[in-house]
Order: sequence, then C-alpha cells, then structure tokens
Amino acid sequence: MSRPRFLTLLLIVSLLLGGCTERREMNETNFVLGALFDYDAEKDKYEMYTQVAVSEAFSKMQSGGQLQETYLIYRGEADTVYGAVRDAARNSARRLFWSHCDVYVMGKDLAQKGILPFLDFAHRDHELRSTAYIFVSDIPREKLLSIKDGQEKVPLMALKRLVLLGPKRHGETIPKRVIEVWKDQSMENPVYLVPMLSMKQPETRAVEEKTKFEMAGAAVFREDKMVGRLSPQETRGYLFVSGQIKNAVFPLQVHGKKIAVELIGSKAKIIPHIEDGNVAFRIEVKPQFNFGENDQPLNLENQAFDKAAENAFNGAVEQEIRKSIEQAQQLKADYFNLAREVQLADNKLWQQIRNQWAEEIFPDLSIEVMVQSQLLRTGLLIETNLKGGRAEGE
Amino acid sequence: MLKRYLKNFVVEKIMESGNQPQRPKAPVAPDLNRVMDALRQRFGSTGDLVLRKILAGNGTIPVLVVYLENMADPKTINESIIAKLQEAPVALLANSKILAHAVLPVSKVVLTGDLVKAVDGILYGKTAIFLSGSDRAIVAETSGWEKRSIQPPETETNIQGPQEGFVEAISVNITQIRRRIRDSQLRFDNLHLGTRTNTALSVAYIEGLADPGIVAEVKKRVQAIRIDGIQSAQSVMEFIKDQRLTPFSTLLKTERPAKVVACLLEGRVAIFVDGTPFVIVAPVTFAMMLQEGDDYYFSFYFGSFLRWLTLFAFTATLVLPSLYTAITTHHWEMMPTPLALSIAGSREGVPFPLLVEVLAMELTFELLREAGVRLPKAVGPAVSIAGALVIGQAAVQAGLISPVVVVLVAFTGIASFAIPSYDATLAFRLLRFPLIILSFAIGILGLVAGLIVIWAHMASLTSFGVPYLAPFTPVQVKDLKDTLFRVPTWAMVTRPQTIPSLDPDRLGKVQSHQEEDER
Repeated sequence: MSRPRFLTLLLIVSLLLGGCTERREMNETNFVLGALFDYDAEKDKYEMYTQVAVSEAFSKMQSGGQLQETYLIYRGEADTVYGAVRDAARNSARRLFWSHCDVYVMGKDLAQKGILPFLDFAHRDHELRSTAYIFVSDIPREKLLSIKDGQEKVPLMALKRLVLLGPKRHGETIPKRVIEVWKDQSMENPVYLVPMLSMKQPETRAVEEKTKFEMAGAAVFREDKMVGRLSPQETRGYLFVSGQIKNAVFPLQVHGKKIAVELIGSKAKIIPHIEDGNVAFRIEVKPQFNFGENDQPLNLENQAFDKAAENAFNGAVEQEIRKSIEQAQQLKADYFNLAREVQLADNKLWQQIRNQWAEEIFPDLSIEVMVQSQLLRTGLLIETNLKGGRAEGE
Repeated sequence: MLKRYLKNFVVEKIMESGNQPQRPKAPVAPDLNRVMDALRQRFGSTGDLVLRKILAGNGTIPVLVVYLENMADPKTINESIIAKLQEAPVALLANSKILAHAVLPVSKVVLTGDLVKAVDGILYGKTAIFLSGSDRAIVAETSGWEKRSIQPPETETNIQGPQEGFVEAISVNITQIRRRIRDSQLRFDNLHLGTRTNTALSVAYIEGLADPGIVAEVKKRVQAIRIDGIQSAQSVMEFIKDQRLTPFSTLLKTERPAKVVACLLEGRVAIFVDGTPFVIVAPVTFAMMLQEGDDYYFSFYFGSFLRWLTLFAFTATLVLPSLYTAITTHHWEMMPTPLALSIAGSREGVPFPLLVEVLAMELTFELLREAGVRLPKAVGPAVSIAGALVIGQAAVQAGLISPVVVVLVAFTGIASFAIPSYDATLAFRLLRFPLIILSFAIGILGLVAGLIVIWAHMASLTSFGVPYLAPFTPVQVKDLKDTLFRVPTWAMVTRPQTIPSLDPDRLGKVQSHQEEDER
C-alpha cells in the first residue's frame, strides 16, 4: 500500500473509530440538576444528595395527564466528596451527568467544616460547571430535599432563579457562583459571603400553603469555613456598599405618615482616607427611589415632604449599612474587601499593616457612611385625596 | 493522489479528442439517379424520407426534391418549392445558383457541392433540391415541426420577473435571447454535437464584452466532445467542467432567458443545446447560486435580505442535521438545560441510536421528495400529505422517531427548497450524509473537519479558470455589491470583476436624471 493511501486510510479509520467509544445516548443519562453536599459529623463522612431529572417528564409528548415523578433523588456517602459522588453511581442505572447542574447547596455542617474539598472537586472535574450557583443551607437535609417548589419540575432548580431574582426584588441575598467563591478564597485573608438558604414554614391559617424555599441572608466565610451569618438586613447593607442592589421596598415614617418607597438603583463609592498611617473610610451611597405607597391624603408636589422622605430614606439605608459594618467588625470579617482599597491607595502602608489588618485594624476601623438619596418619581399619582378634601401642604 | 490521477485523465482525454477528424465529403452527382442511389444508400428504407421527382420548366428538366416528412413544413414545400419549380421557365433552370436565387421564395437557401451537407440539412428538416445536370444541391430552409409553446419555467419560478421559460427547440431559445439583447454584437456560434444525434449547439456571447479566451476555450471544449448522442445540457456540462469529479456544479443550468441575458451582459458565455429547455452558463461562481431572479425584481433591501436568507438556507441544508447529531451525541453541555432535557425526554423510548434515527429520517425525506417529483401531478400532493402524516405523526406516536428529529428534517428540507438553484442544492444534499456520520463519530470536531475539507475543495474549484468561491476567496471587494448584498441597479457600476470582461463598466457615460435636471 502506498504511503499516502495508507495515511488516508489511517485518518479515516481514526476519525470513524476514535470517537465511537465516547459516544453516549442522551436517553441513557441522568441529568443532575441540583445537588446538596453535606458532612455527617457522627459518621465523619461526606454526604451527597442529587436531584436528577426524569427526562421523560420534560418533553411534551405524553399528554396523558397522569402525574408522574419528575425527579429522582440519589444519595452517596464516602470519606471524600468525590467518593460520595461516585458512591451514588452504585444506585443509578444511568450515568450521572453533571454539566447541567446549576445549583450546589452546601449543608451548614459542611460549610462549618470547610468547603475546600468541594471547591477543589468542582474545579478539578471537567464535567462540573464552575459557573453554577452555590448556596449554604440551614435546612435539615431531609427537609430540604422534600421541599417542592411546584413551579419547577426539579425543585432545586428554583434556587437559581430565586437567588438571581433577589437583588432585583428585595436585595436580601447575593448570587454567588462557584468560581467566584474559588477566586475569593484564593485571596489574601479571604472573607466572602455566600447566600443563605432557609425555608419558610406555612402559616397554620393558610391551608393550601406549602413549605417553601426562602433566599435571605448570607453566610460569612473565612477561608473555606463558615464563621457567621448575616441577617437579611445586613446582607442588604452589604449589597448597598457593593453597589449590587437593584430594587427593594422600604417602609418609612415621614411626618406621621406611613409610606413605602421603592428603591430603583443605587451607586456606591468607597473612599479610603489615609493620614499618618491611620486608615479611615468613607462610604458614599447614592440611591434613587420612587414613591410606592402612602396611607394618608398627600400631595407630593409638596417639596418639604419630598425632602423629608429623602431624609428618612437616607436614615433607613444608613442604618442597614451600619449594621452590616458592625457585624463585619464584630466577626473580624472584612467582606467589604476594604483591605484591597487600602492596598490600592497606599501600597507601602499596606505592606506594613497587612498582618494586623484582620485582627487589629479592621475591627476598630472608623467608617463614615453617607447616604444621599434622590426621589425620582412618584408613580402614577401625585395627589391622594379623601372625600375631595385638601391634602397637606395646600 | 486522486487529484493527480484525475488531472491526467482529464488532460489525456482532452488531448486525445483535440483535433476534429474531417468528415468524408461526397460530391453531388449531376445525374439524378445516382443522387437517388446515394441517398437511398444513406437513409436506407426509412419510411419518412420523401424523394419527389418533378419535371420543372414545362416538363423538361427533372428536379429532385428531398425532405423528411414531418420534419419539414409541407406547406412551404408545396407553395414555395414544388409549385414554383413547376411554373419556372426553362431559362431560370440553367443551373442551381440561378434557380436558388430567382425561383425559390424560401427564406434561407444554401448551395452545396457536398452531399453529406445536404443530408445534414435534410436531417434538420430542410429540403434538398437537386437539379439534373448540376453538381450543386440547393438546401432550402423549410424546417417546421411541432414545438412546445413557451411556458413559464418549471424549476425556477419567480414572482415578478418575466414568466417566459426556455423550450426544447433551440431556435425558439435563441430567439428569446435575441429579443432581449438587440445588439449586433451578440453572437451565436452554431456547432453540431454527437455522431448520431447530430445535436445542434450554439455558443452565445457578446463580442467585445466576453473574454475571447473564454469563448475560445468554451468552443474548444465543446468541439472536443466525442460522443454518439447528446440528450441533455447536463451531459455537455459534465464534459466541459474544469474539475470533472466534483459534486459541485461549476457550471450553471438555467431555464430562464432573463438569467441568460443577465449572464451574457456580465461577459459570460451561454451554451444552447437543442432538445433541452436548459441553457448552460459559464463561467460561474458559487456566489451566483445565491442570486435569485427575484432579487433583482424586488426592492434592493429585500433583495439583499433574500441573499442572506439563501446563504442561511445553504448552511442549514448542509450543517443542521449534523450539528444536531454532534451536539446530542457529544456536546450536551452546550445546550441550554431545558432544551437538553426536552431532547432527552423526546428520545426516551426511541429504539434506535441517534445516527440511525437521523439518517433514516433524512433518507425518508429524500424518498418522499423524489416520489413527489416522479408521481403524476394528480397523485403528488397525496403522497406528500401521506408522507407527512405517516412520518410526522405515526412514527412519533409509535415511538420510533423522536419529534425533534422530525422537526429538524422538515426544516432542513424546507431550507433546501428555498435555495433558488436546484443544481446547487444537489451537492449539499449529498454531502449532508457524510457530515452526519462524521458528527456522530467525533462530534463537532468531525463536523468542522468535514466542513474544512468541503471548503478547501470548493476553494480549489474553478469554472473556466474563474475561482469558484470568488469573490469571497480570493476577495474581490467590488463584487460584493452583487453577492452578499444586492445594491441598487444604479450602483452596480462594474460588471463582476471575477469574470474577465473586455468592458468592465456597466453604467457608461449616461448622465443621471438628476444631473440633467440641473442643466
């Protein structure tokens, strides 16, 4: 056989045969859509639960209407995270496929023990997406896996939407991807937030209501361990400082009226002041808001009232930010990443104080908070009258 | 290796057939009986040959009138030949030349001393007149047979363009071009092809516009064809293509006179073949396959949109099934999660591997399409409806095929129908299958590898020396005006640069009406 002919044959054979072993049929696969990793202190073992889609339920084919299971749960347990993942394969007749998993929930026990094993596995394995979202849950795992959202066929998938919607609806949670956590934990003095997942038990009055996921608050991590929690308000305070908040509703008390305003955007600036080796910070936040609701006759053409509303709003926002800062200083956890600002402003000084920063400097840091809000719109009404009466200010 | 072999093959063949052997001449005998013998020897006992002996000049001089029944128009023969001959005075029957010029009121008359030429004329429906004592025959134009009337083109329908299509008769086709280009520079070089069919062929071009080298090359290649019979434009095309084994059509067949006119005006050459309603155009580029008649008849915005749509249709026809195969066998990560689940769900319970499923559906579609063409018009729609029902509905419900594949195949099929040039789709319809197999084997890597091979092959093609992928590779910026876009007619300043032309300017020195208004 001539040389080129042989080479051509070799090429064809390698093309045609090489890939066939890699070939997989989609319907012989379990799509993992959400996973919970946890640590069992009693057994000293890592645990893994996954919610796997029953793909048949996702095509519109059977319109028979019989309700069937839309997801299955697989559980694995081992001394390592990867071991736990592989352990679940013992029970799954179809290969578990991880690339479509967008939701990784860390159990509280695991979070307190350290999530590095998971982070390492998630970045080392090519199938896991590092762009997936990560959560910390304080729900008992049996309960977490039994919560059914109802809208999503695989309940854990709801978490992604919940966390992405958070900053646009209430600002009490912060979306975090696995890769962001990976980057955060590789910094100097790593401190960062991961959204906290909890549940909302039904009120006894509402008969039809089911237990639901609640995405509010955040877990504070130092290195790879959870060291504290932020309340929803403190989380929102952080979002104001980091400029991530998009929309939220604030109840205010102005001139004896109860009003609700809607935040529609906010800008933040962190300004370090360094003098004689002393570091101080000034945080300027400039939110904009709309009128959302008020409970008494009112004419919003009244400038004085608008001014008062702005002041009240400033106070409310400032309080949230202060609380968040206090919590951070108390935990000695600089999740605002002010250290970076110091380094950018004065690297020489930073080199001197870097070792004392977390323990000594940050907890006593003087941080001035300045909120300067702006009332933009009043909604579709300017004047609210009762019985044709005149509103205040006329 | 293969290429070298082909090159040798093509070159040898052309060299072999380079010089046309001279046909043996046969002199016309002055004696009519000998002429009759010679004719009988050639035509044998065929029933449609008419040998009519007349005594012209008041019954003094015998004249032989020969024609083929049904090929020649009997009315012309009766009134313009036989009647005139019988009435003609003796003085005008002195020799063939006087007879031809003074007696016969026939539009076209040729005098020949070669019996073979006379026979050829007879075979074309002309009438040969042999005068006793003369060694030259008169071949008079009397051909008249049933022709199909001009009808709208069947395969290249358009909405607002001219609705005339070519017919089988070459004379009608040539007329259609003449009627549209009233330029004395328009040339039709007539040739004959096929040792038995003796098919009339005409190479058309505009003198002073078309590159003489290309015209000469076209003629050379056509004349080099050695074959007993030519029945279609396709067989001529297969002979004169630059690369004879490529699945791509590097020559264009068209049914629309308007398109041929446009091509001639761009400096191209057209080849008319008798007996087929398709005219060959050379040289062509792949970009021409994007051009659809309607581009030019609609607003140029929509025309440009059509170009991109056609480009998309080409891509979809070639790539879509293999892309689906690649992604669903190898790259599930690429899909959005809901789509992945939906596809996985729809594949649930399908007994075949994806390759079998896709190939089976594609083949079924091709079957249906061919069946639709073959079947009588009355049954055709029934088949397509039954096909759609059987395959679309029943196969899915039986769980044999996943609905996604049905959607995909239907889409691909529709895309291939959207391509204006039927010829151009053929290569893509074929190449789809190896691409599907490659994609199934090694995913997008295979698809891309296959596409690179196809692309490289296309880039290597030429059409009478013009690169097939021009003006894209090599880039001809000026030609992009009529390929990816269809600019307004007043902006088409130059002819396509990729086609060599003696006169590159299209618009000439005519002033625009705005300038005239200013004066």
